[in-house]
Amino acid sequence: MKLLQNSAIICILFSMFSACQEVVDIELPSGYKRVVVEGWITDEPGPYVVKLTQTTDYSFSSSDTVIFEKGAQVIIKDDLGNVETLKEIKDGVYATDTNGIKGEIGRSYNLFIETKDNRRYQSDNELLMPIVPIDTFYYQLDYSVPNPIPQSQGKGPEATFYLKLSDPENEENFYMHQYSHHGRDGNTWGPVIEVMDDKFMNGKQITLDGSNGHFWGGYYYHFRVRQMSITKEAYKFWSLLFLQTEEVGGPYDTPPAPIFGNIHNLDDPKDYALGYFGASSVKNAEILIKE
Amino acid sequence: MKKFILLVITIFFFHYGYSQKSPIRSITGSFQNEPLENVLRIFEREFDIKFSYIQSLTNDVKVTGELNQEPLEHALHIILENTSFDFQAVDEKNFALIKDFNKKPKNNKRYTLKGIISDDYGQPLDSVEVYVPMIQKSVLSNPDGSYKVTNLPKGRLYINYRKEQYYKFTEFINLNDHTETEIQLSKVSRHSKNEATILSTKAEDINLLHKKIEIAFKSGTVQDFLKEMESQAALSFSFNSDEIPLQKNISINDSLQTVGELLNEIFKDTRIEFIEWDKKIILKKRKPQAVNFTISGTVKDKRTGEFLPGANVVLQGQSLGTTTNSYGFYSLTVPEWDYNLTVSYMGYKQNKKELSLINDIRLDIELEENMSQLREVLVTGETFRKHIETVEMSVATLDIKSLKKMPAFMGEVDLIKGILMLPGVTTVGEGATGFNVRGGGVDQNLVLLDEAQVFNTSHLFGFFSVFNADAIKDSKLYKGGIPANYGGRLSSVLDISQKEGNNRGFEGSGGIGLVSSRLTVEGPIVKNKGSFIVAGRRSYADVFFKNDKLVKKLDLPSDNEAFFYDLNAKINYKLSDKNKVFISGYFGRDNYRLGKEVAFDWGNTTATLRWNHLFSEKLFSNVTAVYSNYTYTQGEPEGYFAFKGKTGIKNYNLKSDFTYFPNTKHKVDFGIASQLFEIEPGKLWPTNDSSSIISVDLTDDYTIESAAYLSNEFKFNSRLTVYAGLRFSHFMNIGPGKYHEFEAGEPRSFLSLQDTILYNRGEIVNTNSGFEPRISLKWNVDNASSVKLSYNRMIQYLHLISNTTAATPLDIWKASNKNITPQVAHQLAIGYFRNFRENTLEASIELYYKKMQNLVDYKNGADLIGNELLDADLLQGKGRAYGIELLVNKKVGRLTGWTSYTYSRTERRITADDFRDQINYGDWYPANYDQPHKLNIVALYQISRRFSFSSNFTYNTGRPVTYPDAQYVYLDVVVPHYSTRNLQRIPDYHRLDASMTLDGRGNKRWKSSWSLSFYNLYARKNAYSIFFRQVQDTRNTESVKLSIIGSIIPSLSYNFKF
Repeated sequence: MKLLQNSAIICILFSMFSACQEVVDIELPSGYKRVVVEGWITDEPGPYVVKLTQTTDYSFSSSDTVIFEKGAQVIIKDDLGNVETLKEIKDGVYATDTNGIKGEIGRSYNLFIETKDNRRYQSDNELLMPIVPIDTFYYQLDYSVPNPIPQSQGKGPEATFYLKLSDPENEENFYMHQYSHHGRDGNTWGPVIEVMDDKFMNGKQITLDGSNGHFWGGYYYHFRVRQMSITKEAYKFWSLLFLQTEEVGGPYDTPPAPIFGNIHNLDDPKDYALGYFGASSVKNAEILIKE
Repeated sequence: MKKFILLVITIFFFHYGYSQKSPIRSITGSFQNEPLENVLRIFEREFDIKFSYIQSLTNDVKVTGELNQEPLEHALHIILENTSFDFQAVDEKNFALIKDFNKKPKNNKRYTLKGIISDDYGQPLDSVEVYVPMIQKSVLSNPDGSYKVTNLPKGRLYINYRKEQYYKFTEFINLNDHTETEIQLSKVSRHSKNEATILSTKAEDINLLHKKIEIAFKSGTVQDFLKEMESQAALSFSFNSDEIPLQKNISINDSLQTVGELLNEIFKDTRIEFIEWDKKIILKKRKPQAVNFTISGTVKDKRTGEFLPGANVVLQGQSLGTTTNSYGFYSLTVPEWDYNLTVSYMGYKQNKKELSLINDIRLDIELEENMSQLREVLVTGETFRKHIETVEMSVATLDIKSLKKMPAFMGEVDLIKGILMLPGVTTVGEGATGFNVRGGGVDQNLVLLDEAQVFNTSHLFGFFSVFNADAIKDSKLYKGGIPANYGGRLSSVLDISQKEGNNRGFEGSGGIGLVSSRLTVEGPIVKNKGSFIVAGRRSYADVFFKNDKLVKKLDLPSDNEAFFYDLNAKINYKLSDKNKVFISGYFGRDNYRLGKEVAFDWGNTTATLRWNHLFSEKLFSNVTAVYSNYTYTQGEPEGYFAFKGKTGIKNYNLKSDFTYFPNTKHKVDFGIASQLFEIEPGKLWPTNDSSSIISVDLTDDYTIESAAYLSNEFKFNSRLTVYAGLRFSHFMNIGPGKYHEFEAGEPRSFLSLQDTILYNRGEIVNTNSGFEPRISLKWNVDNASSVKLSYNRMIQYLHLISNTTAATPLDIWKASNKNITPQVAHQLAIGYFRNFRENTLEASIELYYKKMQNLVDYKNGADLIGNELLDADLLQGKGRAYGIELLVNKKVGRLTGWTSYTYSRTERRITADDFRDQINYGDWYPANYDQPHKLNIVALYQISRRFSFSSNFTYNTGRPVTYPDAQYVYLDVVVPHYSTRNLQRIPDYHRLDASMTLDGRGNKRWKSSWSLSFYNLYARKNAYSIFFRQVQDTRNTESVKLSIIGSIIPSLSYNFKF
């Protein structure tokens, strides 16, 4: 839930003062190369994957070329002393063994990395929190909204997906929802990620609109959601990441700042790694629109 | 007082009516709360008289009085002064005591005349009768020549001195606290030529001054009166024509009077005295005494009766002067002298008066507005010398009349926009709430509207301000050298007064503009005693959003609201010359709603009750009670998250301010204030049944901020003036409340939270206090220039927490507590002030350095809304700001305006325990509003009587922004990485505005004018910010410049007055 919607204000300003946006060319500073970690352990069966990349200079050309951090030693530990060294299955992509470590609710996990050039990183201990089940995952059709591009996006009414969950009352909870779909035509979408805290909804049944865009019925759509528990720190990380990639530059936006994850260099605090190593319990749901 | 009167006449004679040796019967004695009846008994015995009265009425009456050789009637007056009784003589022996229910007991001050009488050789003379005809009282001088007459009324009296064988001497005296005389009597010589004359005087046995005459006319020149008296009373006047204002026009009330009374009336308020001698009356100007008198009063607008604060009141004779305070009151205590009083005020015709100061006077002065600035007004300079003469520095007053002629954004005359054209004032960009003064934050400005704190000055997010120019009389911005009576904010004080309303007649004004319409009505409640003003304004921007075409084009939801309005009201009433009350208030609100998604509104409410009281001509006081409330709400009107949230701050302030004017060298201000703040950090509730939102109500915070101050402005001499003030401020967090304690030595976070303590009502949670010295100094280098210096220490206990680039109406106020230390600033400023071209051109250079401690910042990613543990998300750091401001200001003539250039820097440093909380690795970095170069040009040109043109230009270095220095791809999203803050800048900002005002021909009853205004004349797309984003559906990125004003903005408004 976003309280003050910048876009709304911008709307007012645009209409009143002919505000405008222009793409401009500017010279950017060149920064330090950092390690970026994308890793997760869940209570679903493994293998769990940790992806290591490097930052590049901010560039306006395509960012498809990603520099992977190859040949690093990557280890996941739990609080019982179990240790597993991950195997590099692809450049910069490290995975646990299928029969190896498995995430369990109530355990905490951390990640250790030593890069080829001997930089050593460790994540904070991440507690794998339980997650409540998805009460219902359903959709509603609205025939009154005309479909602007009927050829490519189905022919029927507008579809809105809803998810209901019951937030437990006696604790702070943080959620991540990953929505994705694939159509019969092979189109895929997502995952679109949203995070939420229960600060203003504690103990209530919460209804979420998972559409995040327009979907049109009259087509076969598989719509999926993963509901995951995250820690407060992970919530802060993700919400800041979304804030800084989605809402920037307006008068009422938060000025940009470094997004710290939970991975730090063991020897030099200034050489922090980016990204997050998370631990989640997962519940899945799926529906199919046939209408 | 010295007196040498040499009278060369011979003779001795007896006075009429009584003998010198046996003066009339008198009574001496002292009564302290003596029953009236006892006193009457004594009187009956002493004077051999009888009183009749109604016993039941006098029963409990007690009297007090000091009687010293008082004759009967005078003694009775004194005794009965504080009672409700009066007396009447039935015959010589019988007196009746009458209860007068209308008589108000009055505590008349009685004066004492003291002096020494000697002969020509300086030997003391005893047994000289000193006789006061007015009260028929007489005393005899002592062997050492001294005498004392007590219980005299204040004012002008004449006194006879007489002794056998000496020439009689009649003196005219203006009695005050300090009157002492020295009298010399001459012995009668046997060989005088004038013997015969004197003998004839004896024969007539009449005192010329007591002779009754009738004057045929009541007004004329002094000369006319003197001539008429000469012919009527067969006397002649003798005088030095240089000393007597013969051509002065005067008028008298009563044409049948004695010569003495007439002269008294003719020469009242002058130092001219008269002495009778040989059928002649000698008129003589007494030398001024070394005695001080106070001249005080108010300066007002002649047409409306409004006070003029800051008007110059100068006694040119001695180049002594002062300025009126914020209630138009002035007080000058100066030696007895003949003065030329000049009163001047910007935009008004100067008022000059000649006056001979011989007692304390109250003089209310009215100034007439200078309607046309067409002619170059020849200014004698006093108004404009203020620039170099006053000890104030770093102060700017913005004239509302000029402001109304400046180009206005969308036709809305805006005080804050005007302030932004002053040197040392910056903003992060268009549409930012508030303003930044000398590198300080928006919350470091104390904005006062009739002494009520205004917590948010913005309408429509800051595009307009809450101050309706039609309701405002005066505004003053202190950027430095802040006087000790202000406190609670680090960087500036913007003191705005609302108009009082015309107390002479009804009038109205208003306007119709592109954004809003205004209407103001004002008039007397009781003519010359009280008046009211009501001003209202409402915007109609919402019509934009009701336009279907536009809504569709902008892809807005269909059901929108966007408007603001405000209402100003004030009444004042003069209870007496010494007491005046003011009640004023402001109410304004902004309302925005976009379809079903977002709704928010905010607004200020203020109310001020003031009581001006004059304890004496020298002691002015003002007691103020203030209520101020700022709230905002926001919410989602519909849907599964439908909610409404509210936060706010309330302020109750009670204060008492005094100004004491002991003499022209000193001006002492002192006072106390105490204010209660009630901060509502957040409240949230669902607005429909299907909403997932729960009710959340964060505990309110209560704080009490108190202060006492004392200051003295001391004019050492005409060159050096020193202002020294000290403020002591004290702060308390009080219960009820919920306060958090964190582990000592650990960075504050939810991990180090140790305890949460609930306090009961009235419990003191935490206190803090500090001294705030304020010192300023002015030294005149020469007649046209001065050097000024000031030092300020300021403490701020209340902070605005904002995590956005520009402050928004939805930021929250947070009080200091155990975890958040008060902000402190030291500012040192030095300036050189110079006037050119006979004071019509004012120039100044000011340098300042400001050091700030405990500035409040937020941690990256901090959530400010509904955050109970906000303390853990706040950081405190240091700030420093310095700069040089150059200003040239032309205030008179066809062309007026100013040009200013400022070079300034403002930086921050935040060194947190946790590496991640540091900003820029704990190094100094530029603040959001650091704009080193700034140039402002404001020009107003009066082309003809009806047509004026004005233009302004502003240029400043682009504000700092943060560019990414790296990027990474995370879950298919390209994430820019910003490792530092504010190390790059947006392109420089510059803009030219122009406007034209055409005053309608109109008639006396309806005056109108049209204003055509162009904002951003050459349509520059000034950058508000530069930001980075991923191009949709690709992994490409782009940098985007956001311009909030993307083109020229013309506007037309129609203003009227009736």
